[in-house]
This record gives sequence, structure tokens and C-alpha cells, in this order.
Amino acid sequence: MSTKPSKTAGWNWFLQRATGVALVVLLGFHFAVEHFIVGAHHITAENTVERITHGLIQGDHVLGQITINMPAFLYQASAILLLAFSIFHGMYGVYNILMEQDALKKYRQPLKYFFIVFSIALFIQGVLIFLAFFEPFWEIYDPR
Amino acid sequence: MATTEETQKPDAATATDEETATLEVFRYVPEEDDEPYFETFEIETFEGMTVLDALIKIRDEQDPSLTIRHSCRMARCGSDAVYINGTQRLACNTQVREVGDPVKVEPLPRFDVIRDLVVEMNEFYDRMESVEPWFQPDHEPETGEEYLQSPENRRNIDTVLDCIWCGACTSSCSPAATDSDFPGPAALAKAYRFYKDEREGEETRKRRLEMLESSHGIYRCHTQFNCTEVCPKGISPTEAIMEMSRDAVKEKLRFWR
Repeated sequence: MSTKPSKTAGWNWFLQRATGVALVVLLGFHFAVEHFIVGAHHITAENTVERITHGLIQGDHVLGQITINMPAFLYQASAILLLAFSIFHGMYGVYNILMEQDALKKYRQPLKYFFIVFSIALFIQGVLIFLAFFEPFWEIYDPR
Repeated sequence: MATTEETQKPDAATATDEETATLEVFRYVPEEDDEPYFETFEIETFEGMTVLDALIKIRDEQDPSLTIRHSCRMARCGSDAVYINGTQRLACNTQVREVGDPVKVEPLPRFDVIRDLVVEMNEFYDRMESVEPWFQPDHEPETGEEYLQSPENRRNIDTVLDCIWCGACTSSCSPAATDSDFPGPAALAKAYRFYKDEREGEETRKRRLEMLESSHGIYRCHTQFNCTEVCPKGISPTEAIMEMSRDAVKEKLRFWR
């Protein structure tokens, strides 16, 4: 066994499990809203903008038409957290599987930095797409 | 009209023949054979006959070159762990009639084969040694005193004390197969045995935990419970590993101390 002590292994192990539990909750919410309530014919650009910017969820359910007006920041927070947690959980999981292959251990450092950079890039890309639903702040912002 | 006896369904093991069983045995001599092959043997069975009994019978009566490692024949030495019908088992602790027909016997997967059913165990012993599986007390007891252990503490480690180093769990473990730095379930269960032993003292306990926390230590366990399922002694290395992992993280979370 490699006896070199690791300061981060324990924290990463903990975060992997914590994000796993959080993903069960967030994905449950995501599936409920996007797949079980909305209904395919309600997935329109207007409804999506309303959902993301105002937390207004409209759609069908077996019980009938549903309208949920939740606080916008709650819906937005759930979307950003889902993005962050799924990227960490997925990337750290794949990185670990690779690091358990003896043949790949010599590439540990390059692979680590690749996954860190790739994860950050994915997160930024996701946030940019998310922000695209709002009016660009530089168009709203008026310093005068 | 059919009698009650006639309508009873025979069990799977005796469905084909109550007297004989078919054994498909893995054969391979690395120095002589290009590749492994299976050889089929028909043997007469008896109630309670173990797979080891069957293999010894084959060796005695049909093929003296068949090689298997065995010693105590009573599930205490752990030397005859093999892969029977897709599961790691002790040959001496598995009855021929309970595993179905045919009985397919292979060496432990993920171990190098020396000959037929005998595998190289040195790598496994190296993994065991990597966790320092010996008693290391912080302090020597006063002259004339003994290392005393409370009954409660003894009960805590009771579950893992029965390990017979057969290698079945390590053979079934996915991370141990690809990561040679990972000690594997048997070694980590053995580490747990000493980690939980109160007689070693707090300093040794912390040192052991730090050692096990290496990047290829306890956190590599995938919690698949394969090891728990195949252990012939009913030990659950997974639970032992998870308990140590939780303890290690709890230590980290108390960063203000």
C-alpha cells in the first residue's frame, strides 16, 4: 500500500458522498418539475424563461393543470447546485476510476489538472447558459 | 394415480443423477500449456461430499497430476479457496450436491495461477503485511501486568478475528483487481482489528488511521459488498472499512481541536 499520507482524500471521499445524497434530492426535484409535471407540450421557450427567471412552473399532472409559483431564487439555486454537484460527483468519480488502474498512475498529475480545468470550464459554460435566460446585466445596468 | 413420492420434485442437485456428479475442472500448467482448458470428470458422490473430497477423489482415482492446495479440510486454514460455479468458496466447506450439476471449479480469479487450482499468494500476503497486522502498543505495561482488554472492546473486534487469510474477498474485490496499491478487504479488515484494539493506545490508533487514509487506502472501497458476500467466515470487511472511513472524516471535521 502506498503509505504516503493524503490530506485531501478524506475530504474528497466525504464530498463525493455528500454530493451523491444531494443529487438524489436535486435530481428528484428536477425530474418532478421537468418530466412529471410539465409535459412535453408545455416545454416552450416562454415557459422555460418563466420557470428560470420567476420560478413559475406550469404544466400537466394526472390530477390536472398545475401552476406552482415558487420563489425564483430557490429554483435558480437548485439549478446551479445541480450543475455544480453533478460536475464534481461525475468528474471525481471518473478520475478515481482512472486512478485505480495501475497503468494510468504515472499520469496522475496531468489527469488531475485536466479534470480540474475541464470541470471548471463545464461549470462556467453551464452558468453562461443559465445567465442567457436573463437580460444581460450590461444592458440593464445604467451608471448614470 | 401418482403417489406422493412420485409427484415430489427432485431438487436441482439430484435431478440428473443421485449417484454421480460432473466436475469441470480448470487445468493449466504455465510451463507446458499454451492456454488454460477445462477437463471434465465424472465421479460417484455421497451425502455430504465436499468439492475438496471430490477433487481429492479425482486426484486419487483418475488423474494424479490434478493440483490443489489444501490442509485442514475443516474451513480453518483457508488454503483451498477456489472459484466454484462463479463464486469464491472454500472447497472443503462446499458440498457437491448444494452447488448444482455440473460443478465448475476454477482457481481464485485475479490471482496468478501456479498450476491448475493453485494460485500465487505472495501478492496477497504483501497486501496483508502493508497494514502492519501485528500488535503495537503505545506503552509497555508495568512489570508483571498484562495487556488488559475490556469485554466490550473484545466484542467489537470479534467479527473480524475469524479471518483465515484465504483470499476469497480480495479475489472478489474490483478495486483490488486493478489497483495494486489498494490493500484489499482482507488487509483492511485486519487493520480494523488492530485499529479498534484499545490495548494499543491512542497514539498508535491515530497513526494507523493516518496510514490507512493514504490516497490508495480505505477511501478506495467501492462499497460493493462483494467481499462480504463471499467471505466463508461471515466477516464483513466493507462495514469495517466504512467505519474506519467515517472515523477518519469525523477526525477531520473536528478541525478546531
